[in-house]
Amino acid sequence: MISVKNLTKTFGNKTAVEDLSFDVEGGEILGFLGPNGAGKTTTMRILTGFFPPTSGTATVNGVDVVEDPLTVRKMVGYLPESVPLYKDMTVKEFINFAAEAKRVPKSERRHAVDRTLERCNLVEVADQLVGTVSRGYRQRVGLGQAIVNNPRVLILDEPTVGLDPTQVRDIRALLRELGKDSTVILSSHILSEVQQMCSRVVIISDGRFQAMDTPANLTSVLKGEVRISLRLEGATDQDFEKHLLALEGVSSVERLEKGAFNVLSEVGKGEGLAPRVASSVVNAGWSLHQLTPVVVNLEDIFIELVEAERKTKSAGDSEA
Amino acid sequence: MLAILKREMSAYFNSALAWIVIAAFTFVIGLVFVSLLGYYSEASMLASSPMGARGLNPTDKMIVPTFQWIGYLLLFILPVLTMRLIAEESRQGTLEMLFTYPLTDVEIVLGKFFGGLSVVGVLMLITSGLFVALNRLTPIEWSIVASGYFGVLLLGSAFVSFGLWASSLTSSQMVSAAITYCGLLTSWLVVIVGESLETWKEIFGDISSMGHLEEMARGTISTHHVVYYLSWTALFLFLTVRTLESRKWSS
Repeated sequence: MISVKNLTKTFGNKTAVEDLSFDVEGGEILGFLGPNGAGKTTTMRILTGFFPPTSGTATVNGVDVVEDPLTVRKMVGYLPESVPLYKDMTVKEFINFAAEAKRVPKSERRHAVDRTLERCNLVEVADQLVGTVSRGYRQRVGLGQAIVNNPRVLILDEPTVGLDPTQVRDIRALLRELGKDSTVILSSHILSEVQQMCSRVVIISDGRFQAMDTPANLTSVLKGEVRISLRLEGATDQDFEKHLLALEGVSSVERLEKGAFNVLSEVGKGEGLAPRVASSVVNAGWSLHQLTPVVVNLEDIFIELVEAERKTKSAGDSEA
Repeated sequence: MLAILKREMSAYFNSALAWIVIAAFTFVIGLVFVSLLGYYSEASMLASSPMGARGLNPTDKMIVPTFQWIGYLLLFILPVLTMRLIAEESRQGTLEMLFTYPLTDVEIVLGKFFGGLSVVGVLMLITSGLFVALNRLTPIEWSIVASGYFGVLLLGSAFVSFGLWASSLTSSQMVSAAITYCGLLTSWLVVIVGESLETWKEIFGDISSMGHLEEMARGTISTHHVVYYLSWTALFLFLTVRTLESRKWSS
């Protein structure tokens, strides 16, 4: 549904996104995880046709965002992080404005607006001014303007930030509901949120792609599980396997091809495994051709993420 | 584009600012009209003597000065009315949202431009009452009034386009209004610079935004005036679109 290839966006000499590539399948809820300033918003803005990338391509349903931004924008509903709304309109007027601006035909507009108000649970505040409804409702109004034309793709920038726990739960339930009909990309810097909501997660930091996996795989890695890919020479595969399994902290050894293995650590014992594997292999007198911890810097990323989360939290506390 | 236009009109007519400005405008133009009428009726009395009749007609003494005053007042109120057009949205962040809707930048700019112009339309409607009243006192030539209104409309679109551009430059409405004031005052007052320079007088007079309106209020619609205002409008609409496009390469 969405395909991003070698996407780079620079502002002057500042690089916001660098060589980012990933694909999103139709009907998926994809999480975009990364600390603040990692390039999540920039990537999302490119996908909505807000601005073109400096280089690389992005397509939505096969349509290039640079060549035909208007068609892309018809297919994409976007909720910016700041949830911008016209405060001087009523909720219903605002949703109707969004429908008209998004070219929902006049005959279907009324129905589209009513359906959106219902889906987002806005019926009771439909005639209130947008500026007077609570934060939780405002978020839903923001979602409403994004979904009013039934877009195939929903792009949501930090959809739960600044909400209280009940509101967060409501919004997440609504997003799961919406995720049944459309492809959803949501960004977050909260690990647990992404874990609960998304079928797959892309982690970016400093504008670069770090990892893409299911939340389950990611969390297992983040809990201290480490995967090491090895390429060895000097003995039979059976000997290698037996030797590696005997090492402390190794839970399983997977043979890929002759002399090539994936070593998976026990949960929580991944630290320091790579040097131990290396020295034991060398001590046994075999030659070590390759040793790559497959997602080695995920822990580092996670620490960055936690710190970013802590910072936003303390910022949120001081605001309150 | 229609959606943006409707949105702008509802934003204007749901806000106190527009109504206050319209009320102030109506009050001042009414005052001006009454005092012009006072002079005119006094002059008419004198005109009953054979000496005074020359050069006394409602076009010179009433219609032209009224349209001039409408022009001056537009110069003072339009910066306040156009300042919010884009600046407000870039501060609120709603501009980001519009840029992700299936609308071109040109549509957004034109929607906002005509939204601003709609207020000029309301003001023109209000002032039409003055000419109806004048016609009851002394017969006037409606073709001259129509030409004057055409001039006001052209002047209005030129001023609104400038205000729109100023509004696109900043997210501060105050700064936007200040830029528009400076720009519009300059466009008018170049005529004074021209006064002191004998050889340049005509050129500066031609650049001045008000002079063309005055001619049109006398009933002369020449392509010269129309082209002047329309090219001014087109220039600043174009610059506004370019300013909005700058998001594509700067953060």
